[in-house]
This record gives sequence, C-alpha cells and structure tokens, in this order.
Amino acid sequence: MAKLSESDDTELIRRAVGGSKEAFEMLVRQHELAVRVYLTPLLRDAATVDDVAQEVFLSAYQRLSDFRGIGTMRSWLLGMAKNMAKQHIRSTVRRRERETGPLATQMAKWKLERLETHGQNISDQEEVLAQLRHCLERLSPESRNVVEQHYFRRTTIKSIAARQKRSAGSVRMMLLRVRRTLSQCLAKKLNNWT
Amino acid sequence: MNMKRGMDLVSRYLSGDALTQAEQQWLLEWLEQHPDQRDELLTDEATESLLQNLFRLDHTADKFVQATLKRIMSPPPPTRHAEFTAADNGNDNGNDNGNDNDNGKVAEWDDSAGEAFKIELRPASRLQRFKWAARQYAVRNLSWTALMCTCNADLYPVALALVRTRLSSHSTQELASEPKRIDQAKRQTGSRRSFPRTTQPGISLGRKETDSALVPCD
Repeated sequence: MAKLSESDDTELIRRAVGGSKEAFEMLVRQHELAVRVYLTPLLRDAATVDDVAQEVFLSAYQRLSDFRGIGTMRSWLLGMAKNMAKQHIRSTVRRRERETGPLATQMAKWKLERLETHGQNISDQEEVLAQLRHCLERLSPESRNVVEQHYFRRTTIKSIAARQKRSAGSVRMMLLRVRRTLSQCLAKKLNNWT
Repeated sequence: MNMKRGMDLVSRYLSGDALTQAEQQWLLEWLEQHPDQRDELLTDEATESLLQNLFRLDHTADKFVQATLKRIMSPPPPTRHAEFTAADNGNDNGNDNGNDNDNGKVAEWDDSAGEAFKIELRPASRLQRFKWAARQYAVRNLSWTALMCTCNADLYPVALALVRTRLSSHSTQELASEPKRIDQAKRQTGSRRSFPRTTQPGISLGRKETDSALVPCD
C-alpha cells in the first residue's frame, strides 16, 4: 500500500468521523507500526504491547472528532500511547509488587521516572526499526549468528551454549555485549534513542 | 568483583532467569550505587524488547489491524455501568468509561457508576424473588401450569396472574383450616416440625393472605 501523506490523514479522519470504517482501517494501517514500536521498549511483553496499542486506537476512534489537527495524527496517537503506557506501568507496579519481587518493581519505577523526565523519543518509529536492522548488519558474523538464533529462531540460551560448546553464562554475557553495541549504534543514528 | 557479579546478574535478569530474593536485593543496591549501570540496564531492556519483537512487528500487521477493528466494532464489554443501563433502557449505550480527557489522558474508573448499579439492581432482584416464591407455591400445590410458567421467563405474568387467582379463590374457610392442618402435623410427628420459609423478606404479592395461603400442606 502506498504511504499516504499528512494531508491524506486529514481526509481519512474526516471520512472516518463521517462513519467510514474503511477510512479508519487505513488510519490504523498507517500508524500501527509506529504505535507498536513506540510501546515495545516500554512494555516488553508482546501481548501487552498489542493490547495497549489496541486501546490507543480504540480511544482514538471514540475521540476522533476531538482531533483538531494541531500536530500530526501520529504525534496525537503517540501522545495517547505514552499516557496509556505510563498508566499501565503504574498499575502493574501497584498490582504486582508482591508477585514480581523488588527488582522488577524498582525497574518499573525507574522506567516511569525516565519516561516522565526525558520522555520517550516520539520521533519516526519506523526509522528506529530501520536503523536497528542496519546496526544488526554491521555486527560480527559470530554475534549476528547468536542474535539470529536467540531472537529470530527462538533458540534458548542453553541450546545455543550446547551447540557452541560454551557455558550458558558466556552466551548470556555475549548477548549483553551485543545489545550494548546495538544500543550505541542506535544512539549514534538516532539522536534521541533512550 | 562486584562489577562482574553485577553484570552477570543483569544478563540473567534480561534473559528472563529468576533471581533469588537475595540476588535481587544485591543487584538493586548495586544499581543504586552505579546510576550509569542503571541507565545502561534500562536501555538494554529497551533494546532487548525491540529485538524480541522485531520479527513479530514485521509480520503481524494484518492480524493486528483486523483484531483492532474487530475490537472497535464489537459492542463494548459489559462494565458494571453498562449492564445497568442496558437493563434499564433496553439498549447498551452505557459504554462511557470516562475516556474523554484531553491530551490523550485516560480517565480512571468512575466509581459513581457503581451507585447507580446498586439502585437499579432492585427490579431484577424482585423478579428473582417472585420466581422463587412462585416455584415454591407451584411445587407445594402441585400446580403444573404454575410450575411450567415459572420455568419460562415469558410466562411470568401468566404465573403471577395464576397465583393471584388462586389466592383470591381461597375462601376464608380454607384459610382457617390450614393452621389446623399444621397443628395436626405437629401432633402426628410428636415433635417440633419446621417448615421451610414460604416468603422471603421484602416480598409482597399485594395481599395479606399470601403468607397463610402459601403455608405448605402435608
């Protein structure tokens, strides 16, 4: 599907407010990736990300007529996504303090703090994915192989360790180093990566 | 040594390994002392999440769009408030869950809806009480018509009319004879005999005779 411009957004919103389901579907299609990519680092769990992203679109649908065109549709959606993510993290902290233990609870609090003080990057989310792919390509073959095995083929760390005749701890440490390399690469490419 | 242990625990935490309470506490203290490592950990976690979901984000767009549209187009889930308004108005327009703030903020649950729910629960509850009383009456008097009526919600008015007709047809003589039968029963068994309650508190079928008419017979 051809990428639509902002003016198309305005037209689609107008049609969606008028009751066109197709127009709203196009709006969802156009912005779903940005919303989900935005929520992914904040919420981690895939099902939660999709659930909160759906809430964002549901809320947008109910309040579409309130959108006055100040800023873009995407920044409006990402603003809602940010608030809903914060709300979700807060409720998780309250609800699961006993279940998750002190570390996860404190991590959630730090994440909230960071989100409130720095704000999550509301830049082009598709660009984040494109740059991440680019950074992945620049990894050494060995590191790329481990990333591929673990993240894309869902091989457990234990299995990778057995195949490579290494300890699980060394594979974990390798993945940690790879992630830090990728983070540095992303930080160079995107000036507001977390 | 501390750095090595800290990194090891961080890598285990990000891999989803369960850390013991003592390990979590140690790591927390270590991260408090090393704010740079804490920031690194938060960034690591974000990168980890992106990597975990990279493939999924690329391949589930259609599924996500369809699921979202389905959720939007389906009727709202029955919140307490929605249930009340649906029962009260005969439609389900009660999906006002307060998502009407500005700036993308979502309102907290509005507890005032609960009050309305409590008040409007009464008619349904009264219907339940009537159903119970009518069924008791039907069973005791072996009135199959009344029993059938109580099993079919559409026939409640018929059942109600039947019960009322039956009650009005009770002569004063019949009503007077019933306590006698109870006394006989007491004498026969020679012990105190208890009868199930014939009426629930708060039930009123509009006639005072109801209670005595529904006293069970042997």
